[in-house]
Amino acid sequence: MPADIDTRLDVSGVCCPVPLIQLAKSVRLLKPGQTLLITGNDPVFESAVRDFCQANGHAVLEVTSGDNHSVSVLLRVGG
Amino acid sequence: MSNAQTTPHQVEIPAKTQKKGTILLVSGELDKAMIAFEMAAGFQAMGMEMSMWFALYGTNCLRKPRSLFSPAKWFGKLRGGTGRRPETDVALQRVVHGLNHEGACHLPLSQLNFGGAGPMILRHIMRRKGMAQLEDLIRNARELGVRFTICQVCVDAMAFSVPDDLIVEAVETEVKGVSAYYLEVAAADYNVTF
Repeated sequence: MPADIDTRLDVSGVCCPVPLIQLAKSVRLLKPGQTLLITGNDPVFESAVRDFCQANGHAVLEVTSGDNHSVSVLLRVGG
Repeated sequence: MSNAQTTPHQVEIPAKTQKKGTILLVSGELDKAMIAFEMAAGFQAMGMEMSMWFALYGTNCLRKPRSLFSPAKWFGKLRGGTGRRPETDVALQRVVHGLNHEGACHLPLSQLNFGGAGPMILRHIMRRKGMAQLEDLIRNARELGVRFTICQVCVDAMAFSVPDDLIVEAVETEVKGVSAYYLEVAAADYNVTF
């Protein structure tokens, strides 16, 4: 995982759709090309982030699964 | 009419594109569920690609029928399943689980319920008129290819074990979140909520 991540966001412990809302808020503050690492443990968290990226033109760079059902998604904000 | 055209009216047949529609069922009442499934099956039969989403009490249509007085419903273990997080369960979920009307045959009416007699009266009338019952509509919708999806948050909150608690017609039901619903709604021509 690259070290130059612009924003890190932890949404562990909350469930759909709060991760999406937090993600949208954070992405609004970023410029195109910047990266964001979001971590959550909601059962539909990974698909939610993937759908968000698909709908808004962001790129999913890396997905890593941790312990306790947590998933981290690194994404690049699209233009 | 003075400007009446002499040429016969030409009906323009639009280019054949697959139309899509979504129906979100939130209420767990017989009348609303019946209309939702009627529209889903009917629209699918007309050629529209329909997708049904279930939230809160709407999920009761897809559950295996179980009586309100079933001991397993009140004292059985709250089971896990797709989209469930049993480690966050609380004791009050058992009350919700117990009082919930499980199964399409146990749904009440939103009006004129008469303490459970209303659905029997409505079903009797419908049987005499040859109308399809809710269970038949669910089966028909599934046979025509309507896709079923359940909200993950509701599955977790109402202790709904997917796919163990699902009726046989709905075993292919998926558990998804609001983001997946958005993608379907944005691509669909017809969206409605009951």
